[in-house]
Amino acid sequence: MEKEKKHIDNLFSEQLSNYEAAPPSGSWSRIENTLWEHRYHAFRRKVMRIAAVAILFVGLAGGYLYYTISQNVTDISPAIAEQTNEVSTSAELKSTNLTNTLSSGKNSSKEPVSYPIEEKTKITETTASTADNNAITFPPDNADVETGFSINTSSTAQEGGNEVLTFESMESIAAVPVSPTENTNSKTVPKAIHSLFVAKKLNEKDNLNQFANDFAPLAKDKSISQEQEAEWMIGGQIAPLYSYRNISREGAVPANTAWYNEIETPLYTYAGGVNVNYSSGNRFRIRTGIYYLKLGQGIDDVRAYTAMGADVYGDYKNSYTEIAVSNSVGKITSKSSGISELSNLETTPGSTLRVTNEVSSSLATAGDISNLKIEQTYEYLEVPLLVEYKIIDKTIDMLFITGISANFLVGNQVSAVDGAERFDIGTTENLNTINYSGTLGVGFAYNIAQQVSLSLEPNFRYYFNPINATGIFDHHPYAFGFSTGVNYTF
Amino acid sequence: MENLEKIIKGCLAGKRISQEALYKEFSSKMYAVCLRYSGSEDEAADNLHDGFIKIFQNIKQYKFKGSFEGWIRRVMVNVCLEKFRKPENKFTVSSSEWTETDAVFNNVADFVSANELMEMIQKLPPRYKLVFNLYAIEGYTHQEIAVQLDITEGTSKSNLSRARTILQEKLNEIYFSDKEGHLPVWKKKKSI
Repeated sequence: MEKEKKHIDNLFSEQLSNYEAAPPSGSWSRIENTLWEHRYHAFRRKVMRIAAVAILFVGLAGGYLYYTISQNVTDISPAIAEQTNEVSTSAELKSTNLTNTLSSGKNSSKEPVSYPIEEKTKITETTASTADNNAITFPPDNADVETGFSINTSSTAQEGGNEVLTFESMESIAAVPVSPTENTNSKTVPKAIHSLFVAKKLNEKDNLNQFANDFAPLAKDKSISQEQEAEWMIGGQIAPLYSYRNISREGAVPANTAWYNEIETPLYTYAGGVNVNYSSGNRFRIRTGIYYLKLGQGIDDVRAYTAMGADVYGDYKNSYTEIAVSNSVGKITSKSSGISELSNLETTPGSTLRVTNEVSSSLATAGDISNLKIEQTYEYLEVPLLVEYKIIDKTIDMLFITGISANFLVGNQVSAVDGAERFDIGTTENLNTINYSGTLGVGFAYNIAQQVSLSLEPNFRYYFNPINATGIFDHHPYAFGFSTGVNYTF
Repeated sequence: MENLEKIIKGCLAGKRISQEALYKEFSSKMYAVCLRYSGSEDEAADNLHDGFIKIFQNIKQYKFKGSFEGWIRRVMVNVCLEKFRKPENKFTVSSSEWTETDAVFNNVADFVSANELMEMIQKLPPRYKLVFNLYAIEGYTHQEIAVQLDITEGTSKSNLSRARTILQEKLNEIYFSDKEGHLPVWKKKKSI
């Protein structure tokens, strides 16, 4: 009985375990569409995550900057209170002492003058100081030093149009309230300057010229100076690049876009060049120069076959000597170096592949996948016009960098890569010779010597106009770079 | 085999061309599996679609140990069973329907095509169909079937027996109608 029952099981098992039935037509297309949807949603989730991280980063950076600025204000507040008291006492004491000390001077009998303090006026070397015993003279090498504030003295302390810092003015400065920040106005003086005057505790024995010598280098200090001299900088940079592209065109079939996004892959390339920077003395700097950069993309879907008309594909070099490749940029023209034929593929997702060239065509079904990979590269000379803004001016400066560049096509190559071997097989047709790109980046600079600095700049380039004149898509390359360089300031 | 490994690796990398190649390699066999578990071609096509999506999304779970075809077949079967597990697809089959048959089976295999056998299975009541497929073709034990379908082992056995009876009766009908003069020994207890 059991044997008979087993027999019916065996009947069905033997007949149906390896049974095959052709699935309905369109089944693969339906699966493929679902896969594209999943991929799209995954991509969108990825973008959202990156955007969230970027927002978080910007928020943290903004918070840090706000905290840093707030901390500076908090730090100096107690000092202001303390020094204000000290100023009161010192000013009273010095008032008496100074009157005695300067009694023999030309201006000793003069009443204290009100010294309006204005921003961004220079204290310069005075030639009249020799005739005025009460004037502080600055060494000649201190000419044109900006201090971030100025003192308009009375006519008695001014001669030949040059401004002279008198002893009375120093006293006045000591009595003026300290600025809570380094920005001065007509009512305050920078903290460092103020501290200097107070700390010196001027009395009748102080040597004014000595004081001037002490003051001069301080005036050069960045922490005191609000404005720096105009300066030029030259440097060199190299950068590894992560290069890919954005493809789009009005009316393009989404499945085709997705298809090329699938078979085309990013490429790791490089860039390098020299740059010239000019700063007019504030936080802004303009940069230009000339860079060489290589952009491009890889293509994974490469078919190798024996001859046109063949419907069997295989691995390259295994008697399959002709290859076919499809790409979103434009037609690849073969220059034949060991590969007898190079064709483009016309393809629709989910359908058969049509191999075409100028002389013949054949219909072939998808088969084995070649082990070849195609690399499509474009070389440019880039002439940038960038603006840098110094966000943080510390031991390590932080810069925001943006601008546009003109890119001149100087090279165009298509290579077949088979493991460690590489063959130059042709070029891409109809590429534009001039393209324009935008750059966005953040820079970090560190001075390793007085005039030499190292720089590190993560940046992003995007080509505004399509680099291809023909083709089924508008092809906009972009690249993430990580530039490192050395700069010399003069 | 080497080519299959390359295709699998391509699928692991998410390459669409490899996924298409994998589909073309196994779609016919897997569609047959789906047909056995489904009541119609549309349902089978849905299961095939869901099964391949699941395969592509979970292919990293295949560790290149054992038969890859066996792995994707299990995925397909599970997809078909998931449909059954949905509340709206719970079919109640009374154990009281079960009757121990004493049918005798002979060399009908020589006269019945695979397509006819497939059609017979498809026409079985849903749970009989599942139990028969799992036991007779996939090789599951009653204990495993009970876990998979959330039924008792006794119910699984009774469903299997009932499925066999129905199939034998169907085979008998075909045999008698098509092969008169070659009378097998049937002891039919009741007809469906």
